Amino acid sequence: MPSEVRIYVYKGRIHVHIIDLSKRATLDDLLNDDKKRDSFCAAHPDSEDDVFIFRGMKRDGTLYGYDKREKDEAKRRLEGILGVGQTSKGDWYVYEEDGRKRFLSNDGGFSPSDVELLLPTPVIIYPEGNEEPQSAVLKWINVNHKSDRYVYGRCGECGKKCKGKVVCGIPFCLKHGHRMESAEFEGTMKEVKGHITDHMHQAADTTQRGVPDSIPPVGRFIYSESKSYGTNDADVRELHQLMYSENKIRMAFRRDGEGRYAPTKPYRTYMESITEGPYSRIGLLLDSLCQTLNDEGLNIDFFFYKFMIDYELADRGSPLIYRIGRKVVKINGTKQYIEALFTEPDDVAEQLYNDFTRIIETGLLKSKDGTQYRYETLPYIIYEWTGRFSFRDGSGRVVDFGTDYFDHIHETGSGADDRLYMLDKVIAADPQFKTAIYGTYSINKRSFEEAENDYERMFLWSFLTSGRKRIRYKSIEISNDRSGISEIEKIVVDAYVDPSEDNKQRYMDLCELSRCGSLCNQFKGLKGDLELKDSNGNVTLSIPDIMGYVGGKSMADKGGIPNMELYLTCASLMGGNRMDIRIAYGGRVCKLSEQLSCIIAANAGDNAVQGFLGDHVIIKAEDYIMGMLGPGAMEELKDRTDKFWEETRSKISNANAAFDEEIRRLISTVR
Amino acid sequence: MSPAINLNRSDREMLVFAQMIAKDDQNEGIRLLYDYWAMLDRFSNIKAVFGSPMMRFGFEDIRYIFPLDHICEELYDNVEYLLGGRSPFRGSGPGTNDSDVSAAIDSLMLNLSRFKKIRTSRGWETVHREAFTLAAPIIADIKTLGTYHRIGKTVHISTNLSGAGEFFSSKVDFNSKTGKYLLRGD
Repeated sequence: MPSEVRIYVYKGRIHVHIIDLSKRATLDDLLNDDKKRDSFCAAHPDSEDDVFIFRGMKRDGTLYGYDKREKDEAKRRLEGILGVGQTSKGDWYVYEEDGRKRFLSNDGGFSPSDVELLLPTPVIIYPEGNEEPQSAVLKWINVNHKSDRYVYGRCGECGKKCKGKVVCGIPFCLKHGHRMESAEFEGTMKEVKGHITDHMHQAADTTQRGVPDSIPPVGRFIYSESKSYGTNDADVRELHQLMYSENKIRMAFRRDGEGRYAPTKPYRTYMESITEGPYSRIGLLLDSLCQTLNDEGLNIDFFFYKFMIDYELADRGSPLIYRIGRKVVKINGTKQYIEALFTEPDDVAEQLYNDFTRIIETGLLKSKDGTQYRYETLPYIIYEWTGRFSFRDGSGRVVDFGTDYFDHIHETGSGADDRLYMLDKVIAADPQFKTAIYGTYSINKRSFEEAENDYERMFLWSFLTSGRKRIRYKSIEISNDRSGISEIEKIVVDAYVDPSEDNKQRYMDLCELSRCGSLCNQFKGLKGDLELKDSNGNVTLSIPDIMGYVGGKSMADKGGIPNMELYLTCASLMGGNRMDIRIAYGGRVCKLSEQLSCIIAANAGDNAVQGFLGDHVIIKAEDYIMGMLGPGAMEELKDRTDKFWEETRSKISNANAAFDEEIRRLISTVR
Repeated sequence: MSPAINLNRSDREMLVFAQMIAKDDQNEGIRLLYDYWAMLDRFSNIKAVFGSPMMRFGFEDIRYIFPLDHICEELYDNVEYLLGGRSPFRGSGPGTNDSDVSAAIDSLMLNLSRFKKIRTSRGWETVHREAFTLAAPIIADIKTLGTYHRIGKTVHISTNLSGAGEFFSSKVDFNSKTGKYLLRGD
């Protein structure tokens, strides 16, 4: 005779905090945190440290229920007493009030976790003397617990209908103290008795009419008082689909005392009684199916759905009603599945990712043209349906680039490795995905032959996927058309005129790009369309010319500021008033005339002006500006000035001489 | 007379620069040239004689402005000799001016009053021409008066002007002793 009887009741929802006690700091935090006063804590059973299990009913600084256990015993208590278990893959889970399994982590570890659960609480009852355990339980039920809630239903052990009492949320049979399997009526004792009387009268009536009573005969499954099913094919299919759609799967499969799923007695009896037709052998397979279910730790909804599909109890393509935690996901097809991946909470989405292989096997996922997916990868399916680029790496991390993956593929810094991974490990490794992408953008393998490294290749991708319209290289973006010339010029001019850090960086990136042959060659391919003509219709520069020029001149640049020659080349191409070209001189960057005005305004003297006019930078700028008017313009201007100057000097001299002579003449006249 | 104009290499280089700027903006080019010469105080005599007008000129005006500055310099020096603190004519000696002196003073007053009416707004060529036309007889008359004074004649002018600066910068009355005036001293 057992010395004690243990029954389980629900004492209410408690906050469960499960921690890894190998991290002692976490435990200390918990013990000192009043907010976690009613916590249940369990240790990592696999920890090499001492294992602790305690129910955190902390009162006045004292921790009740504190216990210290060895590893194996701790594991047993976790699994057997507290409803916490571990799958063969190492995933930890708890059973919730509805009997469904809730995974606490997916990495095989026992991560710290906060959950609100209605966990079964063990109550230990000690029989007195030679008292039978059942008597002790009944006494405990009747005496120790006041309740005015009673039920009428089926006993979970003997299967008979009887009255029951609800104690701490659990109905117990009042005859034997067993936990009841179902409750068809609930109310006060008076109401329950009235219900039983009515029920017996109805039973008597049906017996008189020759209708079988409520105890199901072999070959029928009693779904409810008004619904029962025979073993013909139609009934079997309808029964399963009804159970599935109304979430009554537990009528077919329930957990036993060890937390493992097993077919219920009525269901086993029913399925084994099917002797003909396509479903005749399912009854023999129930145990092995449950073995798989238990070993793989499958979601019961998913298992039942797959069970119905595999054994043709439901049509392929029937919606999958998928319960993950407290969330119900309904998947009608590919679109819903993919939407759920991106819209559901992380834990739900993660489970959906995990079950992709199983879901595709159900035949639920089809391409847009209706072809059933079989061997396609999830990233490809997501791309085909949404245009999004995403992948899930080996650690379970989901990286989603959205639909503008190629718009950012040229960017360096954080995320670049992920973009490269997407390209090489996801797209390139998937023949279907690769074919789709290469076809969409008219890309072939030769496109990347000149790329010297991954970054160059990414920049090439960026160029090719933009329709060969834009080259994006680090911080710069250049159109592969006539406006690209202006963009190059602007980068150079901005860096010279306003050498901010951003402008200098852009210029340095431009210099790098100019030396990046694989990219610059892309410009050359369209050279004929990019010619720039001056007013006389002469070809002067194209993007390759400018890039070559930048590449040639940039070597002499320091600190991200272009030299004046390059600047003047670009500034002159930007059009506008050539006198607006700004020159760096004396710490200022402004127009030539403004430079001189500043010197004059500073009253620095003739030497400063002459220093300015004689400076090689200014002379070069002048030559350049005048060169824009045509060859020899500066020389012509100087010659003309010389001539003018000589004429002026002569006229001044003559005028002065005439004036002096006039005075002398007038004076001599007076005298 | 000392040469007032120094057309050196710096001016030439500056002229080239200004002309280059002027290819796009005439005013900007000539303004730079003017600012530069103003910095060197090149036209201080023009400013002294005509006040400080907003100097506006073109490249073609250069051949008038430089000799004009020379003229203004000569004129200013002589007027200062006539009216300045060391002037031998301000109330000098007893008696009255004889007819020769009076004629010279009348001529001088007439030309000075005409000179005061020259307006720079009429263009530098015109200003130069008028200044050339008037400054020469003014200077000749002042020198003649100096000669008369040196030979012992009474040369007497009546004025409350302190010197050339006040003469050129003020409104001068040549007919009566009102305001700032300059009259024959009879």
